[in-house]
Amino acid sequence: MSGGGGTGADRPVIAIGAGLIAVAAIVFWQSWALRASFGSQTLGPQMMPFLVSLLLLLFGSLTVVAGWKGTFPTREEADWTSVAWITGGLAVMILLIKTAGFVPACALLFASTARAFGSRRALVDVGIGGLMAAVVYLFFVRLLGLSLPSGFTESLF
Amino acid sequence: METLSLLGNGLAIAVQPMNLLFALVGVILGTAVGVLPGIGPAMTVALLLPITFKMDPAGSLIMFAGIYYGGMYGGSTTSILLNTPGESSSIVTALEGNRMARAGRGGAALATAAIGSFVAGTIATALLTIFAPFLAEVAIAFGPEDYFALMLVAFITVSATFGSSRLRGLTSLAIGLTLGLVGIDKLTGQARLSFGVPDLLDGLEVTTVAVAMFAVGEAMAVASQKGGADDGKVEPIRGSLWMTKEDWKRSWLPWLRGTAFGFPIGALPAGGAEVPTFLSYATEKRLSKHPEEFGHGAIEGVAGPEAANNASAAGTLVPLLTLGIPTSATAAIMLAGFQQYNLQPGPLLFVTSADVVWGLIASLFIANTMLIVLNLPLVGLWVRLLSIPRPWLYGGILVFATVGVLAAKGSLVELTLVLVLGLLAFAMRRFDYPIAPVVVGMILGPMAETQLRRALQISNGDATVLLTSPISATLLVVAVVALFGPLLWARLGWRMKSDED
Amino acid sequence: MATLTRREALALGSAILTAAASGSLQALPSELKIMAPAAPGGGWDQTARVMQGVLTAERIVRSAQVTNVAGAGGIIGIAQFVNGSKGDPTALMVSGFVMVGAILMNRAPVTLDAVTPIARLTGEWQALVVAANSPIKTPQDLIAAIKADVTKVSWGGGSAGGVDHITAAMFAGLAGADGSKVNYIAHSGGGEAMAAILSNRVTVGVGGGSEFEQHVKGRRLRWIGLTAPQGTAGLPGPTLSEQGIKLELQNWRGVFAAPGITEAQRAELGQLVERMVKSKGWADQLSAKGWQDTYLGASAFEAFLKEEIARVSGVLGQLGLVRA
Repeated sequence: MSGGGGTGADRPVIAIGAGLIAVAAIVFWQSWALRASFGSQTLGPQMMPFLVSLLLLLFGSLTVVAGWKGTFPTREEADWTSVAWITGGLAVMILLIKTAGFVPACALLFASTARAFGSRRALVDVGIGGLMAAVVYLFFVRLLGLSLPSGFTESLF
Repeated sequence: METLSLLGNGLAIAVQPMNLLFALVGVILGTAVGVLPGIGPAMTVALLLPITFKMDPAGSLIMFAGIYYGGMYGGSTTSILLNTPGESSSIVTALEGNRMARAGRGGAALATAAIGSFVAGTIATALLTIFAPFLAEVAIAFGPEDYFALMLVAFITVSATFGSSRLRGLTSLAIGLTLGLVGIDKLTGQARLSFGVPDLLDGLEVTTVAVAMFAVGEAMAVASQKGGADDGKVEPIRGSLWMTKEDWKRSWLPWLRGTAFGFPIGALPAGGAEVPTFLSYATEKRLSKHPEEFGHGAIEGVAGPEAANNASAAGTLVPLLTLGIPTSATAAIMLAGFQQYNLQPGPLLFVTSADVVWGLIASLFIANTMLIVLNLPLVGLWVRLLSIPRPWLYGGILVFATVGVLAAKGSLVELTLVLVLGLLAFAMRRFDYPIAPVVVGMILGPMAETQLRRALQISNGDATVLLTSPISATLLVVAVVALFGPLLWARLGWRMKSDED
Repeated sequence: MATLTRREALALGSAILTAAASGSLQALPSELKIMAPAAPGGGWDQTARVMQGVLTAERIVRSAQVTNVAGAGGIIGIAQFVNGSKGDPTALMVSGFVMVGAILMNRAPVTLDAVTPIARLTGEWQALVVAANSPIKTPQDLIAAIKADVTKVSWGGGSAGGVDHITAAMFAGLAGADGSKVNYIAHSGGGEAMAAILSNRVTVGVGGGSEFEQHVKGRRLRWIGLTAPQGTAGLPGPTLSEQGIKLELQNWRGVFAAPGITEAQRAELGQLVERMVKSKGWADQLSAKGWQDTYLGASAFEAFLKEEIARVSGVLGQLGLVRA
């Protein structure tokens, strides 16, 4: 891993700085058309976005410099598969919740997170997650009368 | 003395068996929903209102009060154990509380939170009883320029607690300010940074951001560690389950100081429950004899903010009962509850419906006592949650967090935000950016902006209002001292030490 | 059966008619779905839940279910309603004045044209108040102050472009001032605005009449006028029109059905809502909540809506909040 610690350029950190500068540009560009349309507004709706944009630009530039000098703390090597399992779990949940339903979506999120933390018994995990989700669903929807997103599975009970 | 006899009458009403039962149902329901992120006491009371329409007014208001206080307790439990703040006012509790829980001190963290909540709730309710009418007058005298100065104090003191690197801390703050910009500008009704997505028009939900950045980001960061690192290892109990003598010694002053922040700021119409928790945290860090423990589980950082959070809940009742001004979502719903029984909160309420008001205040004391009696024995049980095997514990946390977010706002945009902000938080952790300033910036930024612009709008652009208002001027002096004081004290301290030598 | 007496025939005929009528009742949706396009607790949610309670308690429908879709003044809710309930004769949505403004200001893709108006249900008139120690005592004083310098008169109320802001702009317009010059200070939630009004920080306060009632009775605030045609029972002061100023505006709430339902289905839903409105349970709930009954049936509501949208869009355009 390209750790810094004062030895040469730290490319990921330079990228972060560039990202901050990009966000500064987006904030500035998106707020350009705002105006105080009525009344006597000395400081209009643009004031804060412009200030924030300026701060992001400043800190972004300083981060680029810090990356160049390599003054950020070093990072340990990461286990990217585990991160991918959690990210994937959430993404699958977003895709499934309105079709397959709330309970299976939650069950898959539970199982994939458990997988990220080293569990190897996928079926058991799906079962536990599903049970937990079903209990939660019944509590919220039947007892409190709230509406949760639901799909095919929930139409069964 | 008259107050006491009225309170006595109130107690007589509140201890009627039916009303005690209502209070019990209220605190249990409140704790249950407080535990769930996203749905808080406000939503619960709203959902119960139609059901209670035919109930006796005293009984149902007592139940609502129980839900209100119970929600405050419940919010801290998940903050401490799962790093998943249930309400925005318990975000600060998660900072130190969850560190303590990971180090096997969850029992002590839960206990100091519960006892602190009890102490603060009781003192604040007593203050409510005595000072309510007087305090309400002071509270409405607070104008936008005064709020702006208060936010400035909060910004400056909290910024001092942002961890090792100033650049990274301030960058996190700026990211929070950016997130705070999203949504309709309150003063002109125009959309900012919403990119044409209607779900973003109301701005980002604080609980969504907190859940994503704390729970999801943390889960990713822990999962990414290869083997050796023991940061993610959770030890349910190390040493004593309960608070040690040392813990008590370090907790009692923060409880009192937290109350001193929470009650008056909670009584301000635009004070909110978050600002006092920020101020309390910053103060405790500065005053602590163990500032190095902050960020690794300092008990003061749990005791103070938890007390502040509960005291502010009682403070909210000041303008509600005396002026009929609801200053929080929960208070607004409670007002609807009063109106359902043709009770109009305001100066006349204490005269026309004395039974109900004093019954309600008495039941606040009772609810508070019930909560501590219920919660302390549960501490041992709650801590056992952490002995669940890690894959299931984190699986549960993620399901729990997303469900809370969905219950508050059931849209896929909200879930997508959880994923995106979770990844952002993971990246920030990896590069050693602190997470707390994001939430601070997101909460304080819009408040400060709105109040400053409103002040200038009322004064027709005359900026001197910031200095001519005595409250604002005083707070600005505090802000300046907070900004430059540490430098000064550092010098004085150094000189004093050299004198001793 | 071959020979029916005249009376028997009549009886039979009316029995058939009754059967047909009750038959059509049975064909009515036994299960209604009411959407509140807001979070639990607000006015729309309370309206939906009161409807739910009354419709089932009065046995007008067998069951009713409330769902909440919160956000952005209801424009998220209406989009979901139109997409998800097309042609569904059992779906209703609560809406109101606020949604008209929200749709215009945010240029929402789905507008109220896409749904089927059923009835206006309730409304609240807007009140103007000043602090008790204000030099302004009558609507005429306020008009004089606006004529002197419109920017020196600050108004405190709810969100920008909302019903309070529109009231302020319309009043200033009557006083001959440019509505967009009105120094309107927007607040989120009633509490903050009330504090600003009570402490005399803003010149005038504007909001729903019942919000100010207690403080006017407690002599903390002075009542200037109400935007109602004539005095409204229970409220502590006269209307603007009684004082010679013609300004009528109500923060109304109504109910809509899904797009694509047949005229017959629409008529049935209209009858169902009318039965609800005429029931005692509804009247009880309205008086408990302090809501005014401003019921309008489907066709009258549709005409009213058309005018209201035109009027609101005119004011918002003048304020620069809706760009052509």
